[in-house]
Amino acid sequence: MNESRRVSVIRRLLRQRLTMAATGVVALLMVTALGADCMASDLPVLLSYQGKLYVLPNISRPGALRPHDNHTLRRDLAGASKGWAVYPLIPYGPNQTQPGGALDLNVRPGTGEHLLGTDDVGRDVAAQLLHGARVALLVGFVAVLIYMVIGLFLGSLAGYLRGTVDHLVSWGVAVMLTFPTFLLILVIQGLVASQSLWGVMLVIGLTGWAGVARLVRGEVLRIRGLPFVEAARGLGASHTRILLRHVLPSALGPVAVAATFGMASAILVETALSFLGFGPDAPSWGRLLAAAQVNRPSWWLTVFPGLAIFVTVLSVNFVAEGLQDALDPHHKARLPRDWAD
Amino acid sequence: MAARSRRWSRRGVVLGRLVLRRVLLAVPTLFGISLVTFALVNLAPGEPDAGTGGAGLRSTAVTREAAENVRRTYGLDLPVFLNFDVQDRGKRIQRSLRELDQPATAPLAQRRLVAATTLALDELVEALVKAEASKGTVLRHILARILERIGEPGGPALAQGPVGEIEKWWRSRRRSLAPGAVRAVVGRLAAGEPGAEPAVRRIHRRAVPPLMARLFATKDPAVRMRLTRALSDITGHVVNYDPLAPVTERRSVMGQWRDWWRAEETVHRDLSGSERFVGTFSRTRYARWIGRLVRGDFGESHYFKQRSADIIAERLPVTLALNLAALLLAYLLSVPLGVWSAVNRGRWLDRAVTAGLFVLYSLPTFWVALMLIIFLGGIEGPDIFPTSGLHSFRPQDYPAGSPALDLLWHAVLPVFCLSYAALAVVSRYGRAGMVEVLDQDYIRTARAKGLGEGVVVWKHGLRNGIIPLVNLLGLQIPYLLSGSVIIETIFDIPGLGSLTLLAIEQRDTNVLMGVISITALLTMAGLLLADLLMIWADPRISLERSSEVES
Repeated sequence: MNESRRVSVIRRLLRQRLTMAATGVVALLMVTALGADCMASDLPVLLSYQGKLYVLPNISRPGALRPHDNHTLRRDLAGASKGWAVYPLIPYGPNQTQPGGALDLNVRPGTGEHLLGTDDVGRDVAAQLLHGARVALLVGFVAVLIYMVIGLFLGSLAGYLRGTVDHLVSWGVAVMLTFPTFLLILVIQGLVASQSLWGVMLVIGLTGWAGVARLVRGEVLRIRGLPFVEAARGLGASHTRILLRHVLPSALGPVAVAATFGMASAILVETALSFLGFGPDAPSWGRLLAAAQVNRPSWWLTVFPGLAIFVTVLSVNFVAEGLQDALDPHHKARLPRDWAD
Repeated sequence: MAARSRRWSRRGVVLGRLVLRRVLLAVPTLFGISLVTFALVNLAPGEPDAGTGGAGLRSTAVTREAAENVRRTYGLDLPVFLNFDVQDRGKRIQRSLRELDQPATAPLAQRRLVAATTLALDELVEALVKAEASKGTVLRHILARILERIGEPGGPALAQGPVGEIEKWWRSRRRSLAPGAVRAVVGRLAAGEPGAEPAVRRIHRRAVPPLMARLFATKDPAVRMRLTRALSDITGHVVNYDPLAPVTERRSVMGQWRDWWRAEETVHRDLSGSERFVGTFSRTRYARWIGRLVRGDFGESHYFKQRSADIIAERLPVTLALNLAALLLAYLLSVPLGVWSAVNRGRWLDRAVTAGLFVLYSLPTFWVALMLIIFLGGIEGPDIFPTSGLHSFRPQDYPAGSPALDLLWHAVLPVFCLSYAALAVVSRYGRAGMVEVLDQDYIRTARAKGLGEGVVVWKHGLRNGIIPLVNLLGLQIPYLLSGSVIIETIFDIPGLGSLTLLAIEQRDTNVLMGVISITALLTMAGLLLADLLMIWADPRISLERSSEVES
């Protein structure tokens, strides 16, 4: 992409108010994901306790404070020990089942200190929401990164080399696209039963590459026939150089759009997996919804995490759409599913 | 007129070719899918708990033998894709005889040899002739137990007697176990002759192959009952055919015997060299599964204790009906919406609709479903819709006393949840297609001719604008099926989706593989259907394709 085109793309992006607003929301979510520990934690952000000053003990988790949580600390500070503490906005951890020492199960939102209530085992919903942003964005980002790498590799090989490689890749893509990917992910997660966050990312990443590979293959096929590639070949450039320096950079625009749409759908897949009980063992929006599924009277377990998922997915989709409009103002209606499937 | 009919016959040829190509392409694709998922399902850690007992019980020879038999029944003793050590009767017996020398394996090997009864006699007597005293005692013990089992008169005395006597006895007894003689006895049993049953028991395991052959050859319920009784008696695999049982149960019994025989055939029979070579590929879990699949048989479900195919057949219509309703609803709404949006393109209403559809597209299905249940299902707010299953339990709860209305009422929320995402996608495509079409020259020509706007848009425009939507039809199917898993789980609907989840949780591999195969087949069928509809909707395609095919 040359300089003037880049400038015009950015200018077009800035003109779209909706896209900019959505970008703002996504940025906010990223900040939340990064700083979740400072927004919701069972330990204070700043603590002076037994004559010692702790900075960000909620992240460093010093051994001296191990037996403590917000409840015992507060009792100590109010009673015998001298000191003070600055608590985060939500003074509960996402996995803390007995905040305040009492077993507060299914607390309604707005009662006591639980802004958004608690779930059926007494975990604070707001704390889980904030930490859930981390899981959602991380899974969305890493999973898409994995399948982008695979898709870029296979797609560019198929499009550039053609012949047998192309046939094989195209067949693989056809198989993957005709199969309900979510079902495949579900089967893998259910049978392998990996509860680790990285396992989930890997599974989504390994099953999602087909759409990207098809897209990249098409772009590479188109670009490799253009005069400037021929010129590069005439100047004696190697295949690797042509592919990496000339062909792929020109194909990156649509790939970026696909990646952004893909992130939204990866977040949806992760929440759906957690909802069905096959997700990572981490505070996740889907896990909250799963609790809501068996505990339907606690409506706040449904409403808030669902809103979080919805707002996230919608913003990411809007960003993707804005990016698409900016890169290719006269595009035909291509759809997220077309990209991210 | 002649030209027209020629064109249509030409289209017929092209159509045939296209279908053929799709089907030919579907075969390797289905093969690829089955290979991947089969590897996944079978190589995943953990086995279905098929009554193998707790791990702590496996230490005794009795429970180890039981576990071994169950594993063999479900094919778990076979390799997944390639079998380089094809077992048959001779190999198994020889191995067990060798294992008698090891103290660790001896008890199990002993039980195996006793269980093999007449099948083991050839090798056993031969080993006894050659054996030294210490091993001879063990072999004599085994022989005594076998003779006891087949009810041989004077058995115990014979087993303890001189080796020469045993050899002599076996030489004469062997003749009654020759294949022809055995077949005759089995024929007498099938005919229901008195006295045939004890005669079959005396032949014991050697009677199993002809018994199985008879069982699969006959359709007579009474004969089947007699044969399965004899088989249960001999093999200890007690599955009796009851002519009065319901048809699914009778089918399950026959299926179970077929499964059992597939696993046990090589226990009862020797394989030739060529059979052994073929066995490298055919005596594997995958080949066995494919072999059954071709006959529409997915094997027995560990969890339901029923044929997987029966379970799937029971649940498939539910999922299909819900999804078809959803698809129909989505298309019926989105075509007019797309057209209207395209005609009014650029106005703020169009923009609002487009944005609204985008929002709809971003709504997670499982959230919408839960929200609807909470706020329309009587948890917070009005109780308008039922939220679980497809029927009311009590007939007095039917709206207006009609069961059809009751079903419809139950289906409202699930169908809505399944359809709204498709609606968003389809109308976006519809709008885009129409926008493109309405810019075409022939639309301007139509307008210039003085045709009314309605005719221009709905007749000339829609005919071409609808084409992308037809193609989309095939692509929607995988998503709908994925969505069914979630929606059916939330609304507690007994369909294919909730079955998938259940099969995963129970590690019911046969059901799971069945569901996956059916899903893949449905998707393929959907793609083919979309192709055919495409040709019907767009005459240009058949011409393009035909030149492509012929060149």
